[in-house]
Amino acid sequence: MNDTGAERIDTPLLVVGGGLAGFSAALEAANAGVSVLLIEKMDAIGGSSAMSGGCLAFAGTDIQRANGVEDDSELLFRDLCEVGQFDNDEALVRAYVQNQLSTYEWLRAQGVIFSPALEASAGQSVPRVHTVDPADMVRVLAAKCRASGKVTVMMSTSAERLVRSGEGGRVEAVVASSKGRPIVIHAQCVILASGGFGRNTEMVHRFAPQYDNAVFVGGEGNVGDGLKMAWRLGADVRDMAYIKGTYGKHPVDTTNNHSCLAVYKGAIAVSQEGRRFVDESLSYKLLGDACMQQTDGATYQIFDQPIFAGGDDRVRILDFGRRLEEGLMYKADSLEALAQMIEVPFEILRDTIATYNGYVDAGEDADFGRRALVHNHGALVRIETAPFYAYPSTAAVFGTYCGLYIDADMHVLDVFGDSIEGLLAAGEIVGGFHGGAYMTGSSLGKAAIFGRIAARTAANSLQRQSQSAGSSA
Amino acid sequence: MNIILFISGIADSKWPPPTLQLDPQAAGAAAAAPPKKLSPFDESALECALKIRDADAQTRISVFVVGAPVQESLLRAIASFRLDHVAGLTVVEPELWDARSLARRFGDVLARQTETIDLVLIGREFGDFDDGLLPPYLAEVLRLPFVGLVQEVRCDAGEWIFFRERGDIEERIRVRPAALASITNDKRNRLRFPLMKNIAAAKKAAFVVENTGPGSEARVRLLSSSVRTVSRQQDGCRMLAGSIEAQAEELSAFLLSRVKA
Amino acid sequence: MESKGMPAIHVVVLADELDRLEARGFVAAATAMAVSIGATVDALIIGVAPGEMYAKDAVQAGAGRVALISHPALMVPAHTDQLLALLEDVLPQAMTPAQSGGHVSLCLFHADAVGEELAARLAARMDGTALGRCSNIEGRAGGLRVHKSVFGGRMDVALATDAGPCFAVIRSIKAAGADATDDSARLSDEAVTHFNLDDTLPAIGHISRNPSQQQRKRLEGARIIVSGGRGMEGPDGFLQLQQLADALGAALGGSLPAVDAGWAPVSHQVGQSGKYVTPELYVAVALSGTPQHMAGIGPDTDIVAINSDEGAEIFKGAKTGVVADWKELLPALIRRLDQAA
Repeated sequence: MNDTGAERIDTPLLVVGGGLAGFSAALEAANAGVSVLLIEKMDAIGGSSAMSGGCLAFAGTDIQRANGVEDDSELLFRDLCEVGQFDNDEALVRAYVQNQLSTYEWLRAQGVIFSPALEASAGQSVPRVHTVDPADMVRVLAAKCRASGKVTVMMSTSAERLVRSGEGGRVEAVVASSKGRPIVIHAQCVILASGGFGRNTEMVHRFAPQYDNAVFVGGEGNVGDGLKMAWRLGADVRDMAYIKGTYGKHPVDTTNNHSCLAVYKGAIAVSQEGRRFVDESLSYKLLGDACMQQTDGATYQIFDQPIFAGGDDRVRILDFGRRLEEGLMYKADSLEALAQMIEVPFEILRDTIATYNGYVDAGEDADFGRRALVHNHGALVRIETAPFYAYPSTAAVFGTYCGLYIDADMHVLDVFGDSIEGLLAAGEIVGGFHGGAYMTGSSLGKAAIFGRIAARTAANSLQRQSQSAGSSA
Repeated sequence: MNIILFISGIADSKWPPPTLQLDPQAAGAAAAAPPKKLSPFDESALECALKIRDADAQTRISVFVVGAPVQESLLRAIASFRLDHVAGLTVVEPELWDARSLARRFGDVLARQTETIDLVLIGREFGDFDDGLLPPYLAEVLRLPFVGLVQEVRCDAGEWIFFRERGDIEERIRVRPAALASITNDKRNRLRFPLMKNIAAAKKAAFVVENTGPGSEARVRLLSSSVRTVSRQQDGCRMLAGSIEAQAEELSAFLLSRVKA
Repeated sequence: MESKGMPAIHVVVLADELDRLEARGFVAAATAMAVSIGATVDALIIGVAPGEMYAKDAVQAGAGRVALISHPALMVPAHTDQLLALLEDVLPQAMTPAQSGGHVSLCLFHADAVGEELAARLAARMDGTALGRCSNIEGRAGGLRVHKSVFGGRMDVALATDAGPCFAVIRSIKAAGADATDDSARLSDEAVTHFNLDDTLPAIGHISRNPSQQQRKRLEGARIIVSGGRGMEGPDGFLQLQQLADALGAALGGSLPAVDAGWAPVSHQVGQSGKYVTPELYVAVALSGTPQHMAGIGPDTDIVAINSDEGAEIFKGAKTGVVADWKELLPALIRRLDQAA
């Protein structure tokens, strides 16, 4: 390979990708005494993590206790399996719940600041959305990595191919390009934390053609290159059929990438024709699917003043006040005026809300079976007190939530179930954890938790390699 | 009420400014232009019109998108506000330098309108080349009363009320139709977002782009152009280092020395 | 006003709109251009009752002749329809080819909203050419060569025209020896002509004027300007900027996005599409420094930049920079300035 003129770099551990998973892995490895090289393709760190809503799902935290919320790993486990429609890998869900509380504490110990506010969101029986400034969180971890003296970060450096030592052998190197210059990075262990493929239109279409018209958010670098590199070695994939957009994205605004989920505070979702189309308490992934079936993939969340007042500007998915201020939300003193603003037929909208309020009183939604505000949490409320609000909402594909087949130690497995030696993966690039749908905060949570697990697996492997090297010497 | 808007758009500043053609007659003169977007003043003018329509659903809004050439993406962006008429108006580059030539061209276009015009709205500066002289020039060509740098327009009892601030004075100008107002950016006229329903309709819409020929001859021509690259500070910037308190200390001492100087 | 061989350009000074310093700088800028055209300057000073010192200033700044025109019915601030009627009586006779010595005739206004409107509307009424906001104007084979910037200050162009009458707006310059005008000096009767008008002036529609709720220090003529951008995040940020401005005796400005957001009034917008300001010191807080904005700041102004992004463009134009979050720096800074007061 060196006859190509590519510069050679050697490192015990190579981490590909500088988002939350990558920096969690790098810092965890550094703290275990491992020297790490982290490469990031873009010229800024953070990737999709930094653009996310900053929600992490943890159970049993001090913030929950301070808010009088009883929660624990078992309830979290049940919720994760349930929201995933029991089509997720229990071993991976187990790995998440067993490491979640310690990862919460670990993030706090690194200096990540959590908002004291707590919210319930998609797939949660109790409020367990823990909110951070996600870009700041990645910066904090990156700063800790630098301070450790064990982590080297190379920006504008993209991995292009994984190299094995012969057919079926260990992954031993990565062919890469650093600011256009070819390099070869030899590593004893490689962790792929390179994110999903939401910015690769062609690849998304291959698995989820129904989302052709959705809004794609996520880091610009998320084009599936890590996935392709692993595919080439025969890696298996899971959950590809479950690519879903997240409901609640403003269809036009490009400055607020985060969903707004007034439905989880009691709003209903209506089509441009003014009719409900879904049980609004479902995971926002399923709401996204349902939304894409509506005319132009465009819908409105409709709510009233008490529901508006239930928002919280500190929580990005519930920052109704800020969005109103930014002109994203419609507000009117009467339903008729609201209907005029959003060009929805008033009579139909009025009847839809009257019918829904009747269901709230009766305790039964005869149309879609909605029983709670969100998942199993919260009693339904009538929509009746002016002023009224509408938030235009489509589905945004924030992440692809599917990908490499991994085991609970984050080893990447090939299509025959054999481990690809020397190759680990964490974060958005992995599949099997979410299954059929997704709980708010479990994607960012997964990035931190699985990143750390991958680092520990790598550290153990490196220790064994050095021991066997020592004993054979 | 019938409202006419002229919109030019500006070159998206994420792209370098285009190469200007000294001889527009030369072959290949229509060089690749950077994509255009609405200027803040275009947006404000459009929002003013939409607000008038909010208050009176009978309001008709017609927009002429002017360009050399007209960009279709701009036509679609404007059409997504469900307007009554959106058309392109192709002009030639030399006209963009000459308010007289452009204003006369617009006057010709409006002279062909069959319906009465009650209000002409235009951004305070028209596109990348105008410094705010086109709107008053156009008002004179159209023989309409002109109100400049307007921040809000209302219709009251069949008359227009224009609101604007001048220094510490707030003005409220009442004018009988028809009139021409240039609109400046203001919190009150920040452009709303279009509805998806109307974006979808605009995607399918077909637009008429008028090409009325050479028009009146431009009296101004381009001699040369150069992209500005010089940074104003040749010696570099002195950075104040240290903690926030240390920075505040040094900066306050510096500012006080300048206040007293 | 009679021609004496040399062609003359006309400069319209609105005495009720410009203070003496601005007016003097405006005439000085016009004089510099007249020299390169090979013309003299005729200044028309218009106001309710413009003081003699405006005429003295104009002569000192280079005007060959001055017409001091007063009209008691003029509104302040200016009502353009009134001025237009007044100028339409005067300018067409003054700007004939004979008066311009065979050259393209030229009339200059100060670069502000009133000047731009008058220049354009007079041009239209006289079937003239509106040249816009020019940084320089030169003679060119009987016609004119003008320099201006386009694309939001990102490009400079030179344009030519041979067809008059021409109307343009220009900015004031800092006139050399500007402070040295001797108010007691006598003006020659030859140089100054007085016109005391009282004919009826027209007005469109009905205008009502109210003082705005907040009295703000004007950007024009301010020695120090404190200005904020999109990074101020909201009106609360601008309240802090106002405190800083008060502590420095400065005027408060804002970028176009800040005005869009309603944090600063439009009359305090700085930039290519706003006010052109020439303070000694410009304190730019949370302002990225787009070419559009920088084009509104004079070349001799020292910029102090406060921005949390060390890569912000504003630092390239600044003389002094602080990489800091304004939310932390401003309170500490204001506290110190208040203590020093």
